[in-house]
Amino acid sequence: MADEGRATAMAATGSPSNRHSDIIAKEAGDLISRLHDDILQLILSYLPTRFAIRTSALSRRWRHLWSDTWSLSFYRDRPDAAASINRILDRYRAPKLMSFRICSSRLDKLADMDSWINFAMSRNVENLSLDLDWGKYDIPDFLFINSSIKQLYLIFGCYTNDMNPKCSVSWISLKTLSLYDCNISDESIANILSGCPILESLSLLFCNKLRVLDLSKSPRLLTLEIKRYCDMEPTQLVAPHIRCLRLRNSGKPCALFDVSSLSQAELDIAVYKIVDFHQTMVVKMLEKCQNVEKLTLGANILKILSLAELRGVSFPKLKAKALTLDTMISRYVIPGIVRVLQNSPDLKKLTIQPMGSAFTYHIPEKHIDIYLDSHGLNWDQSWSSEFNVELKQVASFMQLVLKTTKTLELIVARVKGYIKGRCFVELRQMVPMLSRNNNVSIVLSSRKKRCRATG
Amino acid sequence: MSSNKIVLTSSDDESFEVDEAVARKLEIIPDMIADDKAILLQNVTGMILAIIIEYCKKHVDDVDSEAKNELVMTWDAEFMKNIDMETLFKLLIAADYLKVKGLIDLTSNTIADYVKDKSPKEFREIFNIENDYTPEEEEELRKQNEWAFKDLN
Repeated sequence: MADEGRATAMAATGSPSNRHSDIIAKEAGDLISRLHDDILQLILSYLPTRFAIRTSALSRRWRHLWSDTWSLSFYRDRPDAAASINRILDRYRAPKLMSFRICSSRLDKLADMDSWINFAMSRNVENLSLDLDWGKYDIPDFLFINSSIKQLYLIFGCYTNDMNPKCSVSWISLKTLSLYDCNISDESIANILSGCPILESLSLLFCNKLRVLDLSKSPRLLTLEIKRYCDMEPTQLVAPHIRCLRLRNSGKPCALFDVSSLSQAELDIAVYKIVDFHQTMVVKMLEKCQNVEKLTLGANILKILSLAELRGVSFPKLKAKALTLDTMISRYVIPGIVRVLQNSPDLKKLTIQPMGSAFTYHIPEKHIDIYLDSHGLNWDQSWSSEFNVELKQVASFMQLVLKTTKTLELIVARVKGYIKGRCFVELRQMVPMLSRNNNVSIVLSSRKKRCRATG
Repeated sequence: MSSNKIVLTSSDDESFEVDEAVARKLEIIPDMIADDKAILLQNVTGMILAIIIEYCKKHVDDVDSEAKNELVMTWDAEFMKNIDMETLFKLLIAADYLKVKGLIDLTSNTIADYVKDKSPKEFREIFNIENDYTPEEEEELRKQNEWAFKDLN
């Protein structure tokens, strides 16, 4: 399951409006009533436990089905749920628990949390997700020695929660680890890494105490995600084996990092006020990603690259074959985009997603204007500002892209919803001609829905 | 790159020619592929098999250990949206039989999402459940699980 951001009980699938009037034919009804228990339990395992339990009152056959499923999840339940959770765990029958998720927000006391974790471990849980969400709780030492857990998601949400194991960590089956808002120290993360011989994916989201992350002794760790708030001190990163990096850097000067095996990268930066060194920093990030095949650049990175371009800072050549621009189209990003395109002679596919991320730190436009002014520079006024979205702007942008780079085979423009109604229809009518004249496939679609992490 | 083709035939004699890599997403298949490039799937109708093949074609390049690509997740959601309830159940049964793991998860999740906040009456209708509890037994169970029923009307 995907891993980013805070956990939700399940991925959004949405229910179509036509289902409400579905009448299930009699034969289908018979079919459904003859469904095997395993199939029913599959369905139940995707329900939060609070809903699954209700099925026990449906018929005798259903009475114990919920207690034999392989997952339990208590997600943002009522504050008085703790006692009920204890009773439920008492009645749970399955010997093996695949997935145990608990989000504790609004729970009055976390006193029982130790026993719940113990319970999950005693059933050889494989996927454990704890969202402490502002509750004060110290991870018990017994959790650090475990051989069944394969995926672990810990969301702390409160800076007084520490995660500093006093023993040597041993998570021999762990493949995915995600820590959110966690006060973990350099020593502790090193302890964890040496206890996870088969770890493949690591997410460190807003872990503000981390200064050094050395992954050189973790050759199986191939995917890394790091996000920092704008005023967090940077982390020195030594990760010569990783292939995929998702990095949202803070605005503080970043120590150099080693990511020599990288083939896929998503880069962004959280800054609020702009200073000169941001440009060198961002260009250095780009240099580290020179050999990356699939590159995604966030809005703020593109704004700073644009400033760099206007100030004559030189850019590296990029080997990217696929480039994604996670930004709205405005004068603040055009110079940077043009320069990146010019420096990407192998580029085959370009994706533009103006409404990609729900959590972008937008550098305020007036900060950029002030900065430029202080350096005696100007924007190209033929492009408008960020929030002034017009068909003309998007069409001009596509034409600029096609003029700047001649190697493209495909452009994916996720602009439906960004430009609306009649404008979108007009754009769609322009596409075939643009496509033909430039020998490039152009696909217009809607923005990706960012599904937040499922534990 | 192998362009070996396999022919999958449904219980009602509809045949589909697919790449071997796509056929292998039906994990029941590897046992059945011998020299025979044609496989008869007796428990699956053509209509359902077509849907399963469409899913497998989209997911043929999935790598288990990689985080699910968000583009693919959006496609999955759209894919499920266009399928009615009755077909969803048939799809789940077939996916389970054919062992198409990703589709089993996706379909179960979709059905679960749909039934999540249904009343007991609606739930019974959907799953065709006959209530064989006495009123006292049912009341007893509701009391036992009071917390779970609290915001249910």
